[in-house]
Amino acid sequence: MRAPLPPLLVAAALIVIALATSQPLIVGAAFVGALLLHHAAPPPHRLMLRVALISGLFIFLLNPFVAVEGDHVLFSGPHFLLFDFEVTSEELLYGLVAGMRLATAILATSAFLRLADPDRTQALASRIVPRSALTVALSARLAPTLRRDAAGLREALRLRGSGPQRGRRAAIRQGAVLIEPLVASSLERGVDISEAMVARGYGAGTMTRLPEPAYTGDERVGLLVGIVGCLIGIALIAGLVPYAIYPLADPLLTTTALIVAGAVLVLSLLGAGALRWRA
Amino acid sequence: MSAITIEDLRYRYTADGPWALAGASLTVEPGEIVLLQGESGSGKSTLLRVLAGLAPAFHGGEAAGRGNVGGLDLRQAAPAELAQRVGFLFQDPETQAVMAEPVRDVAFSLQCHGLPAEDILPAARAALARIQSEHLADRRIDQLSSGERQRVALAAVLAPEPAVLLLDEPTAQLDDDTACELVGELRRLADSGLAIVIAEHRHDRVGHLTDRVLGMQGGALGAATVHAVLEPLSGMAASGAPLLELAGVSATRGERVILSDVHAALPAGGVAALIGKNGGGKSSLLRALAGLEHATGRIAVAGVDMTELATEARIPRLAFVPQDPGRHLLCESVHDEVLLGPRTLGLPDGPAKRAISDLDLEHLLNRNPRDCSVGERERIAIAAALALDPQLLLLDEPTRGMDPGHRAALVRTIRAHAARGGCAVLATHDLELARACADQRWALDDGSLTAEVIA
Repeated sequence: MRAPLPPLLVAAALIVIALATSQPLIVGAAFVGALLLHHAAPPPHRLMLRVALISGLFIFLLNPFVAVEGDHVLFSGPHFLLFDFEVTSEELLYGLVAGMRLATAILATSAFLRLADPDRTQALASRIVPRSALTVALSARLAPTLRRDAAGLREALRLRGSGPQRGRRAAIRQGAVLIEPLVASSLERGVDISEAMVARGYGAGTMTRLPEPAYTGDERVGLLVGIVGCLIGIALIAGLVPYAIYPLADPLLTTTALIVAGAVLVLSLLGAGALRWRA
Repeated sequence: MSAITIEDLRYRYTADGPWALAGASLTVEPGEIVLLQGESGSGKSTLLRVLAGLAPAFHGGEAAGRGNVGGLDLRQAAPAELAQRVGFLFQDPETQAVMAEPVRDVAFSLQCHGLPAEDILPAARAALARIQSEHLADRRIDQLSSGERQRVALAAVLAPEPAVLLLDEPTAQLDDDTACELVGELRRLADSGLAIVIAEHRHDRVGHLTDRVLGMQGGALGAATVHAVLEPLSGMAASGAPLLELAGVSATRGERVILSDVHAALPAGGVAALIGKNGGGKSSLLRALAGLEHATGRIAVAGVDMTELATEARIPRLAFVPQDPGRHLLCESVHDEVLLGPRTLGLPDGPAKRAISDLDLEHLLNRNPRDCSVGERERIAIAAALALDPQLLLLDEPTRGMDPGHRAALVRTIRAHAARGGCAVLATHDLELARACADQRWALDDGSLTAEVIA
């Protein structure tokens, strides 16, 4: 597990870059960077990857049917209730950018949560946002506990003779059986953890801080990458690479865009490499 | 001044419900150890929670009467304020870890008590060393066994050196050696002026070092009832063709070997007690038998090789009750919970009815299992396993939170299961239980097993 600040900055940089511009090459580079960071984080990988790709794909496919913009018409169709069946290349491009933004945010957040040491994240939160420390502590503890509970409930079901179901519908039905006990369990756990914290004296007065271990060389590289990435994000917000998709998409391949996208890719490789999880 | 004084203390979880504490009065002096005994659901844990200020603060309900703990008035002091003077150990070690690393978890208590930053880590390590757990300091809590977690929780409670210590079943998850060392440490702490109240079913472990033993019944304090010690099993050990056969069973987790070339056999009618230190591999062996942990070698039940079978394919030939089953109950009533397995597999409900009766669950059938105490949840999970009428019954620490009366009922139930031609393996630190119902002792140390016939 890593000190929280380096993965936080790298993840934040990727999200800011993806949101700060509509230039598809740069957003694509941030998306690839998020994929690299996600892969560098400890398992499980598959679930969040699936969630991110499906969500992104959904936005990509949905946008042409809810947007009514763009000059290059690819397909003409009727307007029915909220849906517009006229598809333009600009709507497709905007959908692609929006989908990649969403996927980047999901992947980078999930990678941060798995890379950062929850104890040190909690300590960092109590320094930066003392009033939210309890919330952070609860979520830091609750997420892994609920994951274990979900696994325990699945095992309990198997121990009653009900194995993993074949077929999507049967699997969904079986998963639904576990939702009620999992919700009940999460409520119980939430009370348990906050009760345990208070029973240990949390909230009684001034808490002292545990001395934090010094950053390792890799963490320093991650920190530097995160800072540079955030600066690129700020420069993009300030208009470093202006780009408009509607009504007509600006040219895609400009020198500045290629340089920034290349820089984002190089930084992502460096950041993911430095913060890579080792068993 | 007394460390704890309560007068006519009453508490109920809902405004119109029955009193869980019905007029309890008690005085505990500094340096005194008081042991609370009573059946599951008699109000022991509730009393400790009220003394720590956690009820009604976290559980709602209604409280009445007077109480003073560590010099603070229970009606006025906030729970966190009380925590500065009162250390509280919860019954379930799963619930009390706040951080992910043991040393940081212990340090959290010290941080909350405002210890200077540079002193925190040395003091946290010293607290772990005090209960022989310094080797756990830098591991991850979610990878520790329940017993190891209990030790970490104890260290976290002891580290700030509170004036009053409230312990709910502190030895339930501990092996005999650790429990003995803990009780000795508690006596030393009491001798230095600490007031300690312990709720514990295992009188044999703590009784000899306590100053007073009180009984709880229906939420009221009174004289303790003397419970008979479980009678050791006498007679011939079961013999015949093995119902359970283990040959060369090995398992690894990451690079760590958790089971190493385990060989053992158990005939129909046999009961094996799986014993060993915390973290020695007992739970891993049971999980491997149930198919929840991948193992190599040969695991056979009634001649059927199960090594490669999925868990659900091993059911109902075997049934397994893991540690802390109360966390993973699936239904909204005790009745449905016990009958879930037979209904899923289309089995008759006769064994379920018998298990409900044997384990004294009739009065709980319409309750939500989550409203039951730890001991009651344990019995519900065991009944759900017995409802499958398995040939092999696997129980991991089955007496956790169980009072002496229900412990004796469990012994009778296990022996009856064996008498019907089944067999059972119990992973337990409760050596009295092992002596009362097992005819084989399987000692597991660092994944290696030594089997011995003892009856």
